[in-house]
Amino acid sequence: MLNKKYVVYLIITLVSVLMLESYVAFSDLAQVIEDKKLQMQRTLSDLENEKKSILKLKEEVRKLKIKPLSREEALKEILDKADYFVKMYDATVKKSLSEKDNIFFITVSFDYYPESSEDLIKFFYKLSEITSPQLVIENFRLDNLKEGTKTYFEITLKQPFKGK
Amino acid sequence: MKIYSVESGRKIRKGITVKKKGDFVKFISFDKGSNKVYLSIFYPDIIFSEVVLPPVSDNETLLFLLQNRLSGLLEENKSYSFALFEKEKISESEISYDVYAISEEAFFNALEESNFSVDSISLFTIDVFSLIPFSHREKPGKTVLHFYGDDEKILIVVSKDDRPIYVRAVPIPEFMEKNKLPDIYYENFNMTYLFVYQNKRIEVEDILISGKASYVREFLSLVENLTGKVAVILKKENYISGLSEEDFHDYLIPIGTVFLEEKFNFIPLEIKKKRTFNFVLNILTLTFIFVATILFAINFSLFVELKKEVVYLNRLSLQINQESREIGQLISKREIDFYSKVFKNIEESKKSNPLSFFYELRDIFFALNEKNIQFNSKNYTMTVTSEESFNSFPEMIMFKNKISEMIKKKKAFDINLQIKENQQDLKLIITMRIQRKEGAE
Repeated sequence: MLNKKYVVYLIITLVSVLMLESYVAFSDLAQVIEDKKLQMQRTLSDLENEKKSILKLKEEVRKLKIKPLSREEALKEILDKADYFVKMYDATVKKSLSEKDNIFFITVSFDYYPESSEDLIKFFYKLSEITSPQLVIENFRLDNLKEGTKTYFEITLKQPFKGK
Repeated sequence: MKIYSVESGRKIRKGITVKKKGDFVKFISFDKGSNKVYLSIFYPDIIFSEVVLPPVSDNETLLFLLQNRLSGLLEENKSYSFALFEKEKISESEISYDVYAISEEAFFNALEESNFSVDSISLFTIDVFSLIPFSHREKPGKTVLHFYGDDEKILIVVSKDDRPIYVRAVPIPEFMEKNKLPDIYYENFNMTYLFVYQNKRIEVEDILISGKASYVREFLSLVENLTGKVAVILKKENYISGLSEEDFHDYLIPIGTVFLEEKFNFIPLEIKKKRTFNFVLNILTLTFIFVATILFAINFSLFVELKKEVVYLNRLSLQINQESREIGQLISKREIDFYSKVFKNIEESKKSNPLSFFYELRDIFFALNEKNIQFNSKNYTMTVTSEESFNSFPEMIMFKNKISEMIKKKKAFDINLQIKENQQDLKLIITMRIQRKEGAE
């Protein structure tokens, strides 16, 4: 018959091994949970930052009075502005209307004869104030001639719209 | 440490429970009051021999050598236990020992008679050895003859310190009349004393008398007359408290057994080995229990922590869902796409407007009489050409230096300045290529 003592020793040894196994399993699980926790904390932090950025963006949009435009609205907006340059500054369309990645493009060029330096600066300021469509001055040239100052502008009008 | 010490004689079976504290014991009771049992038996057939052995540390080898050397004295097919006492070191490789052997059968018979289990016995010895601690304590460094006598036996041991030199155990015939005891005692004392002196050449320096013999005046006188020495009677004060003088002498053997060292232990080697094994196993078991308990506590703590972490993860998951929902409600993906394009264009528009060049470089522009300005938004570079006329050469040089100094101060721009001098006409043709440094907005 098996000595009772040895049965006890065996049970204690088994319990110890079981406890050790449990410890290893718990430790591994703790590591997995820790990694998951860090990952989720990062995700939450990213989302919170994203939310803050969106709120800031919305505030900026509100200040600049930018409205999301449909394709039709955007087309009207850019054509109206091009027409404005044609009528006001006798501009010529250098690159006709094109569309890429939900943005309309038109490039116009014209000469402008400022009466003074202040007039030119005001003109630049006026251009910078236009946010819809957005104006990119591709080329600018100034020549001081005997008859007066002559400037040349080549401006690309860009108007994004909400895609489908 | 509590010990139950038992003397097992021919008929006498008596035990005493004492508490041992160093070289002194305290009487507890005459009943079994401890699981630690010391047992001494009356064994007149002890085998004694002198052997010379090499120094051996391994017990099994030692046992083998002893069985070999004592083969003439030991019965075949019988196992024996040995007690070894170093006598003298003959050389580096030889030590002389006194060896006492008793058959293992005696051990098992004693257990059976006393109803003890093998595991309960911590020390097993012969009663004659139980007298040695008293002799050692009473007369340290002296050769002492200790005579013990009771109703059923006479024990005589000649020893020096804790080393037995000569032992003798004599049973007293059962039907001996009590008044004959002094004669029997004296007869055995006389015989042993003379034998030791004449045959063994042992010079006995002191005489100790204990047991019932110490109360027999007639015997004591005869001893003193024979030896010419004082027969010292043991006193309990040096050994035990809580016991009468008479009980002390009555229980002298079990009390003496308590003071014996491990070298007097005749428990068979196999049992000792098994005990060592069990001891190691117990230590391991205790270690395992300890480790298991610690691990259980750690595991429990980990489990509680993990449970908390899981609750926290669930909360995080809910928060993430909530944030995602709120973001979805705030703005659609198409709107984000639209706005990001608008803001990108606005940024490009700002960069392409040379207004900031005019503003930040206004002092240079005020100083120059520029003829031509060009700005290209591909590389955001402005090229300025100017022609300046002067009335004198110093004025021209001063102007040139002034422009150079102004340019040096414009840290936000890379300005490449080229000046062509016409010293005859006092004219300067200045060309500047201006580019904003990266990150300098």
